[in-house]
Parts: sequence; structure tokens; C-alpha cells
Amino acid sequence: MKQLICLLGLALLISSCGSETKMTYRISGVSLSDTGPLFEGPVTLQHEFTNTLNDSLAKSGFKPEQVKAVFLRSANYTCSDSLGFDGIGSLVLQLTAENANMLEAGVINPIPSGSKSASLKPSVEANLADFFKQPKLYLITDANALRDAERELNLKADFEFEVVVSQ
Amino acid sequence: MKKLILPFLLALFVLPFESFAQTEADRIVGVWEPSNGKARVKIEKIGTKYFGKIVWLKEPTDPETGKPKVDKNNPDESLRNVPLKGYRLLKDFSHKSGNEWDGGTIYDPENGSTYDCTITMKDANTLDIRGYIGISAFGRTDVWKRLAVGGAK
Repeated sequence: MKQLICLLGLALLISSCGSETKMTYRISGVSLSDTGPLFEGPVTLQHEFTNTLNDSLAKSGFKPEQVKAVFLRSANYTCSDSLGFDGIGSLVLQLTAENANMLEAGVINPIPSGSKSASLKPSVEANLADFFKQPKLYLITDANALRDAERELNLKADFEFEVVVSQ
Repeated sequence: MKKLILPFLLALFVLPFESFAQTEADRIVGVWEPSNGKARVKIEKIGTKYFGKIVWLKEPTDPETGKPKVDKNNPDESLRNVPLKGYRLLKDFSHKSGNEWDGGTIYDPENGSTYDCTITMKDANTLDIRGYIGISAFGRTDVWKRLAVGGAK
């Protein structure tokens, strides 16, 4: 029911400060869809992501064990359907992986009516580093349908993470 | 010929066992109602683990705000706007063996606390949900009933 087609664009931007280096890691062009119909309540959109952070770190001369923290900095969703986010009250992003416990990473509630795009407010506390130590992780987006609707839900999402690496 | 025998034996003996184990673990999937009847929780599988999210609330509106209830007691202040409807109360359960799923947590939105938790299936339609801190002996068990098909909102 939830088929995902992913076009990934990854980027690693680096800035240093004292004994820590901060990097920006992007996962772009993630497609999330539910073929509908939508039923009132949470609609779970799941994206299985093969972790490439370690490859990006290696190119910059860092090892995975140097990662101290990973924070969500932005999560932007667009809905290209003619209905946009009509009837969708909120979006919540969670991460989970085989050997890491699920964490909420960001939320938008409510989504302004008539919106075609939505940006989550990231959690300021959720350290997502454990997820990025796994070879595979899941980006779970819950879209809260306000009512039953005969429609599909097709979203594109771009995620940006701040990676804190010790020198 | 010998090359064909091993795959044949695998298909005959090993794969059915794996399939059975999978089916046994997935018995927990469905919609369940805690004993207080205030919510209904849908347990589903993500990857190899099981999670339970609220899909129905008896009182979906917060009387203080007149708006849909949110997770106002979340210890992470930046997440206090997460809607309770859709919230995953049960997280990260693995099938241990037989009728037990463990390794997970249960969240109490009424006080913002998270507890270690084990789930025991007493019969096909009954779960014992035991939340505890530290060791299982010090905890509380709630009985959840499976919602019949057509009974969920």
C-alpha cells in the first residue's frame, strides 16, 4: 500500500568549531505515497533508507565512531496532488532501525489550510546518532487524515541533518 | 543433481519453519483496546519490530483548548504539539518466543513517562501489557482486548 520510490541526493557540507566539526547531511527527493482511499486517523508513510553517511564521512577523513550527535535540522514536504494537504491535519517524522529505538524527530501541527508544502519543527533534543550507525534505517512519516477521503497521498520530502563529529 | 538437493531440502524443511515463525510473531498485529476503553491502538510491524499507535480516542478533544488532544506532557518541549491521535505508545517490540514480545517500551501520555514493557498474548484476542521500571517484578499489567473486524472506527 505504501510504495516508496526514492531519488536520493546527498550532500555533506563541513564547518569546524574547536574540537568539533559540524556537517550537513541531506537526504533529498524522497517519494512517499499512499494509494488511498484515506481513512480518518494516522496514515503511515514509510521510507527504508540505506545509510550512506559513513561513506560521506570517509570521504571527509572521518570515522563513524567520531560521530557524537545527529540532529534533524529541517524536513520539508511537498504535495503535488491537486488537493495539496487539504484534509491532512499534521505530519510527524520518526526514525527507527533494527538496533536503535524509535524517536520522534519533528512535527507540524496544524498544517495551514490550502498548503502545498509543509516544514516540520525539528525536535531540539532528539539525538539521532544511533540510527545513522545502522546500515539501514526507516524514516516514518505519519500524516493525520482529518476525515475519510477518496484520494491518494503523494509527497516528496527533503531532510537535512546536522552531524556533530569529534576531531 | 547434488546441487539441486540442498535447495530442495531447504525449501522443504527450513523455509516453512521460518514462515511459521513469522506468522506466529505477526499474531500481535491488529487493533486493540486497553481496559479503560479510552483509546484503540493499532499494532503494526515496521522492519522486524512491532509498534502500536493510537487510532481512536474516546475523547479526542482537549476540554481546555477545544482542539484535538496533543502530547502536552512530552518531556521534549519541542514535541508537545504532536497529535495524540496517531501517537505510537508502543515502540520497538521484538518477538521473543511463543506468546511473548519484549524489548519495547510503553508511553503514558497522561504523565509523559516511558516504561519498559513486555507483551504476553493470553489468547488470540487478549494481551497482557506489563509496564515496569527496571525489573518486571515492579510494574503494572493491563489487559487489552482485540477489536473485532468492523468494530474499529
